[in-house]
Amino acid sequence: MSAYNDIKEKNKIYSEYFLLNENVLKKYDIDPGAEEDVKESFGLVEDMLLYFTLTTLSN
Amino acid sequence: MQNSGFRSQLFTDVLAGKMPARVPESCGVNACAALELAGFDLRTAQYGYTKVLEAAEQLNAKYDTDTLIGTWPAMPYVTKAIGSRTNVMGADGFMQHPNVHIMEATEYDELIADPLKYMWDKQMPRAFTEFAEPWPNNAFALLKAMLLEKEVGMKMFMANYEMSIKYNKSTTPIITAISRAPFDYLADYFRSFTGALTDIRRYPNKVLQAVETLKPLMVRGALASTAGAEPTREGNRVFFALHMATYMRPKDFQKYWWPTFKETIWDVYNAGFGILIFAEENWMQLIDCFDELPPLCHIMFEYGDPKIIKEKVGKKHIIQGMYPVDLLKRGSKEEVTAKAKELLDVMAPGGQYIFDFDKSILRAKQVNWDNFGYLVDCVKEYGKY
Repeated sequence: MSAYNDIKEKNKIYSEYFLLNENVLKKYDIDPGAEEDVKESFGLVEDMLLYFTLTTLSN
Repeated sequence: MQNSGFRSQLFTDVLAGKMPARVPESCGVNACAALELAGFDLRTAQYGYTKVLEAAEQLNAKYDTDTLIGTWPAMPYVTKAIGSRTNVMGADGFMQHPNVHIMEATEYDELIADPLKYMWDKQMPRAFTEFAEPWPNNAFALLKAMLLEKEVGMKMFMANYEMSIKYNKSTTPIITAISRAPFDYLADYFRSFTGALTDIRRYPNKVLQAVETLKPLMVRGALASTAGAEPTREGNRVFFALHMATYMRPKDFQKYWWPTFKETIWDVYNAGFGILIFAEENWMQLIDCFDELPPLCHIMFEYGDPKIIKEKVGKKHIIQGMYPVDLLKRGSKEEVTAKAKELLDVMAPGGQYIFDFDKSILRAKQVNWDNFGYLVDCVKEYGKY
Protein backbone atom coordinates (compact mmCIF):
# COMPACT_ATOMS: atom_id res chain seq x y z
CA MET A 1 0.00 0.00 0.00
CA SER A 2 2.97 2.35 0.27
CA ALA A 3 2.71 3.74 -3.28
CA TYR A 4 -1.03 4.27 -2.86
CA ASN A 5 -0.54 6.02 0.47
CA ASP A 6 2.40 8.05 -0.82
CA ILE A 7 0.28 9.39 -3.69
CA LYS A 8 -2.57 10.08 -1.31
CA GLU A 9 -0.22 12.04 0.95
CA LYS A 10 1.25 13.90 -2.03
CA ASN A 11 -2.27 14.97 -3.03
CA LYS A 12 -3.43 15.86 0.47
CA ILE A 13 -6.45 18.17 0.44
CA TYR A 14 -6.93 20.85 3.06
CA SER A 15 -10.58 21.76 3.41
CA GLU A 16 -12.93 23.03 6.04
CA TYR A 17 -15.42 20.33 5.02
CA PHE A 18 -13.26 17.32 4.24
CA LEU A 19 -11.22 16.81 7.36
CA LEU A 20 -7.76 15.41 7.90
CA ASN A 21 -7.64 12.82 10.67
CA GLU A 22 -6.07 15.17 13.20
CA ASN A 23 -8.88 17.67 12.60
CA VAL A 24 -11.53 14.97 13.03
CA LEU A 25 -10.19 14.26 16.52
CA LYS A 26 -10.31 17.94 17.39
CA LYS A 27 -13.70 18.74 15.85
CA TYR A 28 -15.52 15.85 17.49
CA ASP A 29 -13.51 15.93 20.73
CA ILE A 30 -12.27 12.35 20.37
CA ASP A 31 -9.44 10.92 22.47
CA PRO A 32 -6.15 11.20 20.49
CA GLY A 33 -5.55 7.52 21.16
CA ALA A 34 -8.33 6.74 18.69
CA GLU A 35 -6.45 8.21 15.73
CA GLU A 36 -5.89 4.87 13.96
CA ASP A 37 -9.54 3.88 14.33
CA VAL A 38 -10.69 7.32 13.20
CA LYS A 39 -8.51 6.89 10.14
CA GLU A 40 -10.36 3.66 9.32
CA SER A 41 -13.86 5.06 9.76
CA PHE A 42 -13.88 8.81 9.10
CA GLY A 43 -11.05 8.52 6.58
CA LEU A 44 -13.07 6.02 4.58
CA VAL A 45 -16.35 7.93 4.51
CA GLU A 46 -14.69 11.26 3.77
CA ASP A 47 -12.99 9.57 0.82
CA MET A 48 -16.32 8.15 -0.34
CA LEU A 49 -17.98 11.55 0.00
CA LEU A 50 -15.13 13.01 -2.03
CA TYR A 51 -15.61 10.35 -4.69
CA PHE A 52 -19.36 11.02 -4.78
CA THR A 53 -18.70 14.76 -5.10
CA LEU A 54 -16.28 14.32 -7.97
CA THR A 55 -18.12 11.62 -9.89
CA THR A 56 -21.88 11.31 -9.44
CA LEU A 57 -22.31 15.03 -8.80
CA SER A 58 -20.01 15.88 -11.69
CA ASN A 59 -21.51 13.51 -14.20
CA MET B 1 -20.07 -19.83 -29.31
CA GLN B 2 -17.01 -18.66 -27.41
CA ASN B 3 -17.56 -18.66 -23.66
CA SER B 4 -17.24 -15.87 -21.14
CA GLY B 5 -13.88 -17.09 -19.88
CA PHE B 6 -12.38 -17.06 -23.37
CA ARG B 7 -13.66 -13.54 -24.09
CA SER B 8 -12.56 -12.26 -20.69
CA GLN B 9 -9.08 -13.60 -21.40
CA LEU B 10 -8.94 -11.67 -24.70
CA PHE B 11 -9.36 -8.40 -22.81
CA THR B 12 -7.12 -9.45 -19.94
CA ASP B 13 -4.35 -10.26 -22.40
CA VAL B 14 -4.68 -7.04 -24.38
CA LEU B 15 -4.78 -4.86 -21.27
CA ALA B 16 -1.64 -6.60 -19.97
CA GLY B 17 0.17 -6.01 -23.26
CA LYS B 18 0.06 -9.69 -24.24
CA MET B 19 -1.02 -11.07 -27.61
CA PRO B 20 -4.62 -12.39 -27.39
CA ALA B 21 -6.04 -15.29 -29.42
CA ARG B 22 -7.91 -12.75 -31.52
CA VAL B 23 -8.81 -9.05 -31.53
CA PRO B 24 -11.53 -8.44 -28.93
CA GLU B 25 -14.36 -6.11 -29.88
CA SER B 26 -16.10 -3.68 -27.57
CA CYS B 27 -18.63 -1.97 -29.83
CA GLY B 28 -20.36 0.58 -27.62
CA VAL B 29 -24.16 0.60 -27.46
CA ASN B 30 -25.96 3.00 -25.13
CA ALA B 31 -28.84 1.83 -22.93
CA CYS B 32 -31.13 4.27 -24.76
CA ALA B 33 -30.61 2.42 -28.04
CA ALA B 34 -31.51 -0.86 -26.33
CA LEU B 35 -34.61 0.64 -24.71
CA GLU B 36 -35.82 2.05 -28.03
CA LEU B 37 -35.20 -1.25 -29.82
CA ALA B 38 -37.29 -2.99 -27.16
CA GLY B 39 -40.11 -0.50 -27.70
CA PHE B 40 -39.81 1.43 -24.44
CA ASP B 41 -40.29 5.18 -24.02
CA LEU B 42 -37.04 6.90 -22.93
CA ARG B 43 -39.02 9.54 -21.04
CA THR B 44 -40.19 6.95 -18.51
CA ALA B 45 -38.19 3.72 -18.80
CA GLN B 46 -34.89 5.10 -17.45
CA TYR B 47 -36.23 5.85 -13.96
CA GLY B 48 -35.84 2.27 -12.80
CA TYR B 49 -33.82 -0.79 -13.73
CA THR B 50 -36.41 -3.40 -14.75
CA LYS B 51 -37.01 -2.12 -18.28
CA VAL B 52 -33.31 -1.33 -18.79
CA LEU B 53 -32.41 -4.91 -17.91
CA GLU B 54 -35.23 -6.33 -20.03
CA ALA B 55 -34.06 -4.31 -23.04
CA ALA B 56 -30.42 -5.24 -22.47
CA GLU B 57 -31.38 -8.91 -22.17
CA GLN B 58 -33.11 -8.85 -25.59
CA LEU B 59 -30.13 -7.14 -27.23
CA ASN B 60 -27.47 -9.38 -25.72
CA ALA B 61 -29.39 -12.54 -26.52
CA LYS B 62 -29.51 -11.50 -30.16
CA TYR B 63 -25.96 -10.26 -30.89
CA ASP B 64 -22.82 -12.30 -30.25
CA THR B 65 -20.73 -9.44 -28.89
CA ASP B 66 -17.67 -9.84 -26.68
CA THR B 67 -19.00 -7.39 -24.08
CA LEU B 68 -22.37 -6.65 -22.56
CA ILE B 69 -24.11 -3.96 -24.59
CA GLY B 70 -27.01 -1.56 -24.10
CA THR B 71 -26.91 -1.41 -20.34
CA TRP B 72 -26.20 1.27 -17.70
CA PRO B 73 -28.70 4.14 -18.14
CA ALA B 74 -27.80 7.76 -17.40
CA MET B 75 -29.36 7.62 -13.91
CA PRO B 76 -32.05 10.31 -14.33
CA TYR B 77 -33.41 9.24 -10.94
CA VAL B 78 -30.25 10.66 -9.37
CA THR B 79 -30.24 13.86 -11.40
CA LYS B 80 -33.92 14.44 -10.55
CA ALA B 81 -33.33 13.84 -6.84
CA ILE B 82 -30.72 16.62 -6.77
CA GLY B 83 -32.36 18.96 -9.32
CA SER B 84 -29.43 18.87 -11.73
CA ARG B 85 -29.01 21.75 -14.19
CA THR B 86 -25.96 20.13 -15.80
CA ASN B 87 -27.58 16.82 -16.70
CA VAL B 88 -31.18 17.13 -17.87
CA MET B 89 -33.62 14.98 -19.80
CA GLY B 90 -34.48 16.27 -23.28
CA ALA B 91 -38.03 16.29 -24.68
CA ASP B 92 -37.50 12.83 -26.19
CA GLY B 93 -36.07 11.35 -22.98
CA PHE B 94 -32.39 11.40 -23.96
CA MET B 95 -30.12 12.93 -21.32
CA GLN B 96 -28.38 16.17 -22.35
CA HIS B 97 -25.48 18.22 -20.94
CA PRO B 98 -26.32 21.90 -21.40
CA ASN B 99 -23.40 24.34 -21.58
CA VAL B 100 -24.09 26.08 -18.26
CA HIS B 101 -21.73 28.31 -16.35
CA ILE B 102 -21.86 27.81 -12.61
CA MET B 103 -18.94 29.90 -11.36
CA GLU B 104 -18.33 33.61 -11.98
CA ALA B 105 -14.89 34.76 -13.11
CA THR B 106 -14.68 36.90 -9.97
CA GLU B 107 -14.79 33.75 -7.82
CA TYR B 108 -11.47 32.19 -8.86
CA ASP B 109 -9.81 33.16 -5.58
CA GLU B 110 -12.49 31.39 -3.55
CA LEU B 111 -12.11 28.24 -5.64
CA ILE B 112 -8.32 28.32 -5.31
CA ALA B 113 -8.38 28.94 -1.52
CA ASP B 114 -10.54 25.88 -0.68
CA PRO B 115 -11.99 24.12 -3.73
CA LEU B 116 -14.19 21.70 -1.79
CA LYS B 117 -15.62 24.46 0.38
CA TYR B 118 -16.28 26.56 -2.72
CA MET B 119 -17.95 23.58 -4.41
CA TRP B 120 -20.31 22.84 -1.54
CA ASP B 121 -21.00 26.50 -0.69
CA LYS B 122 -21.44 27.88 -4.21
CA GLN B 123 -21.12 25.42 -7.07
CA MET B 124 -23.36 22.61 -5.80
CA PRO B 125 -26.39 24.74 -4.81
CA ARG B 126 -26.21 26.50 -8.18
CA ALA B 127 -25.77 23.35 -10.24
CA PHE B 128 -28.27 21.25 -8.24
CA THR B 129 -31.37 23.13 -7.16
CA GLU B 130 -32.34 20.65 -4.41
CA PHE B 131 -29.12 21.47 -2.55
CA ALA B 132 -30.22 25.11 -2.33
CA GLU B 133 -33.31 24.08 -0.36
CA PRO B 134 -33.32 24.69 3.42
CA TRP B 135 -32.48 21.99 5.93
CA PRO B 136 -33.42 19.14 6.01
CA ASN B 137 -34.58 18.99 2.37
CA ASN B 138 -31.03 19.60 1.08
CA ALA B 139 -29.64 16.85 3.31
CA PHE B 140 -32.36 14.43 2.22
CA ALA B 141 -31.62 15.25 -1.42
CA LEU B 142 -27.98 14.33 -0.94
CA LEU B 143 -28.86 11.19 0.97
CA LYS B 144 -31.40 10.09 -1.64
CA ALA B 145 -28.90 10.63 -4.45
CA MET B 146 -26.20 8.61 -2.68
CA LEU B 147 -28.59 5.79 -1.82
CA LEU B 148 -30.16 5.74 -5.28
CA GLU B 149 -26.78 5.45 -6.89
CA LYS B 150 -25.62 2.79 -4.46
CA GLU B 151 -28.75 0.64 -4.27
CA VAL B 152 -29.92 0.83 -7.88
CA GLY B 153 -26.32 0.67 -9.07
CA MET B 154 -25.71 -2.52 -7.09
CA LYS B 155 -28.84 -4.17 -8.53
CA MET B 156 -27.67 -3.21 -12.03
CA PHE B 157 -24.15 -4.43 -11.35
CA MET B 158 -25.28 -7.84 -10.11
CA ALA B 159 -27.80 -8.27 -12.94
CA ASN B 160 -25.21 -7.24 -15.52
CA TYR B 161 -22.73 -9.74 -14.17
CA GLU B 162 -25.29 -12.55 -14.35
CA MET B 163 -26.24 -11.48 -17.88
CA SER B 164 -22.57 -11.48 -18.90
CA ILE B 165 -22.21 -15.10 -17.78
CA LYS B 166 -25.57 -16.12 -19.30
CA TYR B 167 -24.75 -14.67 -22.73
CA ASN B 168 -21.03 -15.49 -22.78
CA LYS B 169 -19.71 -11.95 -22.50
CA SER B 170 -16.40 -10.81 -21.08
CA THR B 171 -16.37 -9.97 -17.38
CA THR B 172 -12.94 -8.33 -17.44
CA PRO B 173 -13.40 -4.88 -15.85
CA ILE B 174 -12.68 -2.01 -18.23
CA ILE B 175 -13.86 0.96 -16.13
CA THR B 176 -14.05 0.89 -12.35
CA ALA B 177 -13.77 4.61 -11.58
CA ILE B 178 -13.97 8.02 -13.21
CA SER B 179 -11.76 11.06 -12.94
CA ARG B 180 -11.07 14.05 -15.18
CA ALA B 181 -8.42 16.28 -16.62
CA PRO B 182 -8.24 19.31 -14.28
CA PHE B 183 -8.85 21.84 -17.08
CA ASP B 184 -11.85 19.85 -18.33
CA TYR B 185 -13.26 19.81 -14.82
CA LEU B 186 -12.84 23.59 -14.57
CA ALA B 187 -14.58 24.09 -17.92
CA ASP B 188 -17.36 21.52 -17.66
CA TYR B 189 -18.44 22.05 -14.05
CA PHE B 190 -17.44 25.62 -13.17
CA ARG B 191 -16.79 28.11 -15.98
CA SER B 192 -18.40 26.42 -19.05
CA PHE B 193 -16.82 25.61 -22.39
CA THR B 194 -16.77 29.22 -23.61
CA GLY B 195 -16.02 30.75 -20.21
CA ALA B 196 -12.89 28.67 -19.66
CA LEU B 197 -11.49 29.53 -23.09
CA THR B 198 -12.18 33.25 -22.55
CA ASP B 199 -10.53 33.12 -19.11
CA ILE B 200 -7.27 31.94 -20.67
CA ARG B 201 -6.98 35.38 -22.30
CA ARG B 202 -8.41 37.49 -19.48
CA TYR B 203 -7.17 35.72 -16.34
CA PRO B 204 -4.32 33.40 -17.39
CA ASN B 205 -2.70 33.19 -13.95
CA LYS B 206 -5.99 32.44 -12.22
CA VAL B 207 -6.70 29.63 -14.68
CA LEU B 208 -3.27 28.12 -14.06
CA GLN B 209 -3.72 28.33 -10.28
CA ALA B 210 -7.21 26.83 -10.56
CA VAL B 211 -6.13 23.77 -12.55
CA GLU B 212 -3.20 23.22 -10.19
CA THR B 213 -5.63 23.43 -7.25
CA LEU B 214 -8.04 20.98 -8.86
CA LYS B 215 -5.36 18.43 -9.78
CA PRO B 216 -5.10 16.83 -6.28
CA LEU B 217 -8.89 16.45 -6.25
CA MET B 218 -8.78 14.60 -9.56
CA VAL B 219 -6.16 12.23 -8.14
CA ARG B 220 -7.89 11.76 -4.78
CA GLY B 221 -11.22 11.10 -6.46
CA ALA B 222 -9.64 8.24 -8.40
CA LEU B 223 -7.88 6.86 -5.33
CA ALA B 224 -11.09 6.98 -3.28
CA SER B 225 -12.80 4.62 -5.73
CA THR B 226 -11.25 1.57 -4.06
CA ALA B 227 -12.61 2.61 -0.64
CA GLY B 228 -9.16 2.28 0.89
CA ALA B 229 -8.36 -1.12 -0.67
CA GLU B 230 -5.13 -1.66 -2.57
CA PRO B 231 -5.70 -1.16 -6.32
CA THR B 232 -4.45 -3.38 -9.12
CA ARG B 233 -3.91 -2.31 -12.72
CA GLU B 234 -6.10 -5.21 -13.92
CA GLY B 235 -8.96 -4.73 -11.49
CA ASN B 236 -9.03 -0.96 -10.96
CA ARG B 237 -9.11 1.11 -14.12
CA VAL B 238 -9.77 4.85 -13.99
CA PHE B 239 -11.54 6.47 -16.93
CA PHE B 240 -10.72 9.95 -18.24
CA ALA B 241 -12.95 11.39 -21.02
CA LEU B 242 -10.92 14.21 -22.57
CA HIS B 243 -13.06 17.14 -23.63
CA MET B 244 -11.47 20.56 -24.11
CA ALA B 245 -7.98 19.81 -25.44
CA THR B 246 -8.72 19.63 -29.15
CA TYR B 247 -10.68 22.90 -29.04
CA MET B 248 -7.65 24.83 -27.74
CA ARG B 249 -4.72 26.37 -29.58
CA PRO B 250 -1.71 24.03 -29.28
CA LYS B 251 0.28 26.56 -27.24
CA ASP B 252 -2.66 27.00 -24.84
CA PHE B 253 -3.02 23.22 -24.64
CA GLN B 254 0.65 22.89 -23.69
CA LYS B 255 0.43 25.58 -21.03
CA TYR B 256 -3.03 25.20 -19.49
CA TRP B 257 -4.35 21.70 -20.28
CA TRP B 258 -1.56 19.16 -20.60
CA PRO B 259 0.74 19.59 -17.54
CA THR B 260 -1.85 18.97 -14.83
CA PHE B 261 -3.48 16.17 -16.83
CA LYS B 262 -0.12 14.46 -17.26
CA GLU B 263 0.61 14.80 -13.51
CA THR B 264 -2.84 13.41 -12.68
CA ILE B 265 -2.33 10.38 -14.90
CA TRP B 266 1.14 9.63 -13.54
CA ASP B 267 -0.06 9.92 -9.93
CA VAL B 268 -3.05 7.65 -10.50
CA TYR B 269 -0.85 5.17 -12.38
CA ASN B 270 1.88 5.23 -9.71
CA ALA B 271 -0.77 4.61 -7.05
CA GLY B 272 -1.39 1.27 -8.78
CA PHE B 273 -4.33 1.88 -11.12
CA GLY B 274 -4.84 1.12 -14.79
CA ILE B 275 -5.66 4.06 -17.07
CA LEU B 276 -8.46 4.33 -19.66
CA ILE B 277 -8.69 7.48 -21.80
CA PHE B 278 -11.31 8.57 -24.33
CA ALA B 279 -9.55 10.99 -26.69
CA GLU B 280 -12.59 12.89 -27.90
CA GLU B 281 -12.52 14.44 -31.39
CA ASN B 282 -9.34 14.50 -33.49
CA TRP B 283 -5.99 14.43 -31.64
CA MET B 284 -3.71 14.21 -34.67
CA GLN B 285 -1.88 17.51 -34.07
CA LEU B 286 -1.39 16.58 -30.39
CA ILE B 287 -0.69 12.90 -30.94
CA ASP B 288 2.94 12.93 -29.72
CA CYS B 289 1.92 13.94 -26.21
CA PHE B 290 0.64 10.43 -25.43
CA ASP B 291 4.24 9.26 -25.48
CA GLU B 292 4.74 11.17 -22.20
CA LEU B 293 2.20 9.01 -20.38
CA PRO B 294 2.97 5.75 -18.52
CA PRO B 295 2.96 2.53 -20.58
CA LEU B 296 -0.13 0.55 -21.50
CA CYS B 297 -2.63 3.34 -21.13
CA HIS B 298 -5.81 2.15 -22.83
CA ILE B 299 -6.72 5.00 -25.22
CA MET B 300 -9.99 5.16 -27.14
CA PHE B 301 -9.70 7.30 -30.26
CA GLU B 302 -12.60 8.88 -32.06
CA TYR B 303 -11.12 10.28 -35.27
CA GLY B 304 -7.69 10.49 -36.92
CA ASP B 305 -5.37 8.56 -39.20
CA PRO B 306 -5.29 4.93 -37.96
CA LYS B 307 -1.86 4.28 -39.49
CA ILE B 308 -0.24 7.24 -37.76
CA ILE B 309 -2.01 6.47 -34.47
CA LYS B 310 -0.88 2.84 -34.65
CA GLU B 311 2.69 3.91 -35.40
CA LYS B 312 2.99 6.69 -32.83
CA VAL B 313 0.75 5.45 -30.01
CA GLY B 314 0.11 1.74 -30.58
CA LYS B 315 3.54 0.49 -29.60
CA LYS B 316 3.47 1.94 -26.11
CA HIS B 317 -0.27 1.98 -25.41
CA ILE B 318 -3.47 0.02 -26.12
CA ILE B 319 -5.68 1.51 -28.83
CA GLN B 320 -9.43 1.21 -29.25
CA GLY B 321 -11.96 2.76 -31.62
CA MET B 322 -12.08 4.60 -34.95
CA TYR B 323 -14.49 2.38 -36.87
CA PRO B 324 -16.98 4.85 -38.46
CA VAL B 325 -20.31 3.97 -36.83
CA ASP B 326 -22.15 5.99 -39.49
CA LEU B 327 -21.29 3.30 -42.02
CA LEU B 328 -23.71 0.94 -40.25
CA LYS B 329 -26.55 3.20 -41.33
CA ARG B 330 -25.66 3.86 -44.94
CA GLY B 331 -23.37 0.94 -45.93
CA SER B 332 -24.09 -2.48 -47.42
CA LYS B 333 -23.00 -5.68 -45.64
CA GLU B 334 -19.99 -5.82 -47.97
CA GLU B 335 -19.01 -2.22 -47.29
CA VAL B 336 -19.39 -2.65 -43.52
CA THR B 337 -17.22 -5.76 -43.36
CA ALA B 338 -14.66 -4.45 -45.87
CA LYS B 339 -14.12 -1.37 -43.72
CA ALA B 340 -13.68 -3.55 -40.63
CA LYS B 341 -11.05 -5.64 -42.42
CA GLU B 342 -9.28 -2.50 -43.64
CA LEU B 343 -9.07 -1.18 -40.06
CA LEU B 344 -8.02 -4.56 -38.65
CA ASP B 345 -5.23 -4.82 -41.24
CA VAL B 346 -3.75 -1.61 -39.85
CA MET B 347 -4.49 -1.91 -36.15
CA ALA B 348 -4.35 -5.64 -35.29
CA PRO B 349 -0.69 -6.48 -36.06
CA GLY B 350 1.33 -6.66 -32.85
CA GLY B 351 -1.75 -6.76 -30.62
CA GLN B 352 -2.63 -4.00 -28.12
CA TYR B 353 -5.81 -3.24 -30.02
CA ILE B 354 -9.54 -3.49 -29.21
CA PHE B 355 -12.04 -3.08 -32.03
CA ASP B 356 -14.69 -0.40 -31.43
CA PHE B 357 -16.65 2.38 -33.11
CA ASP B 358 -15.50 5.98 -33.27
CA LYS B 359 -18.49 6.77 -31.07
CA SER B 360 -21.10 4.62 -29.39
CA ILE B 361 -24.51 3.86 -30.84
CA LEU B 362 -26.73 6.18 -28.82
CA ARG B 363 -30.12 5.71 -30.50
CA ALA B 364 -31.83 2.74 -32.14
CA LYS B 365 -32.41 4.47 -35.47
CA GLN B 366 -28.76 5.47 -35.76
CA VAL B 367 -27.76 2.18 -37.43
CA ASN B 368 -29.01 -0.74 -39.49
CA TRP B 369 -28.92 -3.52 -36.87
CA ASP B 370 -28.39 -6.25 -39.43
CA ASN B 371 -25.11 -4.51 -40.22
CA PHE B 372 -24.24 -4.49 -36.51
CA GLY B 373 -24.54 -8.28 -36.45
CA TYR B 374 -22.46 -8.68 -39.63
CA LEU B 375 -19.78 -6.44 -38.16
CA VAL B 376 -19.29 -8.25 -34.83
CA ASP B 377 -19.24 -11.61 -36.60
CA CYS B 378 -16.68 -10.32 -39.10
CA VAL B 379 -14.35 -9.04 -36.38
CA LYS B 380 -14.43 -12.38 -34.57
CA GLU B 381 -13.44 -14.24 -37.71
CA TYR B 382 -11.05 -11.81 -39.43
CA GLY B 383 -9.48 -10.69 -36.14
CA LYS B 384 -7.93 -14.07 -35.34
CA TYR B 385 -4.16 -14.03 -34.79
